Amino acid sequence: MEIKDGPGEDLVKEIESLKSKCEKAQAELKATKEELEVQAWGLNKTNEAIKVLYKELENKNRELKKLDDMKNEFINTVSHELRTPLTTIREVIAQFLEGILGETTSEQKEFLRICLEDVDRLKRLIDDLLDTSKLESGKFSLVMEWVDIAGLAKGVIDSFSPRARVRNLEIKKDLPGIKLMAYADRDTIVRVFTNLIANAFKFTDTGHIEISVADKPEYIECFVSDTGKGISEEDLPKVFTKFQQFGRREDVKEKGTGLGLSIVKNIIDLHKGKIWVESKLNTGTKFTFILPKSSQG
Amino acid sequence: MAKKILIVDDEVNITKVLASRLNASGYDSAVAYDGQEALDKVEAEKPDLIILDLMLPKIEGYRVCRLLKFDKKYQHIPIIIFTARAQPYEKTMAESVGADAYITKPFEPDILLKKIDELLYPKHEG
Ligand SMILES: Nc1ncnc2c1ncn2[C@@H]1O[C@H](COP(=O)(O)OP(=O)(O)OP(=O)(O)O)[C@@H](O)[C@H]1O
Ligand SMILES: [Mg+2]
Repeated sequence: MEIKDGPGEDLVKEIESLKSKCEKAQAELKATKEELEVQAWGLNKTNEAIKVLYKELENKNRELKKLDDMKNEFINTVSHELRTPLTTIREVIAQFLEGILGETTSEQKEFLRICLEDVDRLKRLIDDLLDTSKLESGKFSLVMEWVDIAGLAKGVIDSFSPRARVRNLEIKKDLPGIKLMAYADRDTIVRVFTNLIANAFKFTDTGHIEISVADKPEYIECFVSDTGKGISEEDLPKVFTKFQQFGRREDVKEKGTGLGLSIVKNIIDLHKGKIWVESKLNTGTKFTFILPKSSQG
Repeated sequence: MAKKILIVDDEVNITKVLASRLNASGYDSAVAYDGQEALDKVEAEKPDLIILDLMLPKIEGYRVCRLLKFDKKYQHIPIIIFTARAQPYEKTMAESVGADAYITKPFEPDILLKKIDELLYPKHEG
């Protein structure tokens, strides 16, 4: 009788195949496990990398902040150092013009006056830069006291009357006959009026400039309006941003820097007030601001 | 007789223009360039008023001020601290050493002259 391996052999084969499958599966499992381990390791690494990057970002941020502080500090120092010799120069020119340092001919006086004008321009620019850097670094400290805003406005307006005469522009003022007190920093509010009125003069050829100070229950409302060249709708949102100047510059006689209004806005913000502008091209511009009578209230 | 003002500042240019301005306004002037010289000149020149910078060689401005204000012989002389240091606390410092006025540089002749006048002729005040 022939002995067949028959089913026995099959069984062995089956077992062998199962065994090999099992081994394969095991190998695969091992591979997957290794793969997972690699991935876990990778994730861990990524995590660490993110942490490092985060730290770096934090450091960069701190560095940037430090650089910004340094920039402001630098501008502060430089402005101060520039102002000292400048005021000496100004004083010497002034003394020449007053005849303290001897006689000068009228032609020489004419040129000395040009020097004085430009020295004053430079001084204004330095002051503006200094104030901007102080305002940006939050180092601007207000000296608060009770100030008569109406009286203060009158003082500033009066200082412009020679300019109004020369330029043949009428100044209309609408001031209350009484004192209007607000708790404010006198010098900076003078600055606000000065900058706004100077702008009105700068950008107005004919017509008038109007300044108003009015009493409201909670605050004092002031405006400076002109009948000048106006600001286009497109430029209007940018007026309070520093270094923004619009229109054809060659039309403007008194060149500026574009810092005036950004300083004004910062000052009003520090007083917890509001400022806004309305304007129509070739018709005129009106800047209105409100000052709380007492910033605590 | 013209009142005499002692200018104490180590910046020669400032002392020159300041002296010229003071002379034009009818004052006599004397100059010292450091703290020690200031004390010597106070003794020698007997000024009626002192304009004092803070950052001085040899003896610091505050110390000069304190020394003079503690000296019975000189404490009556008005002292104007005249400085580029514009920190808010400096003014308090100036008061604490007995200074009569505190004016920050840069040089604004009008403000300075007005203060000098107020200190030299107190009865003229409002
Ligand atoms: N009253 C105004 N009429 C027309 N345009 C104005 C008026 N006020 C401001 N502007 C426009 O807004 C710009 C910014 O004004 P801002 O006062 O900030 O700068 P500036 O006057 O040019 O220079 P600075 O004030 O620094 O001397 C001006 O250059 C001008 O184009
Ligand atoms: Mg301006």
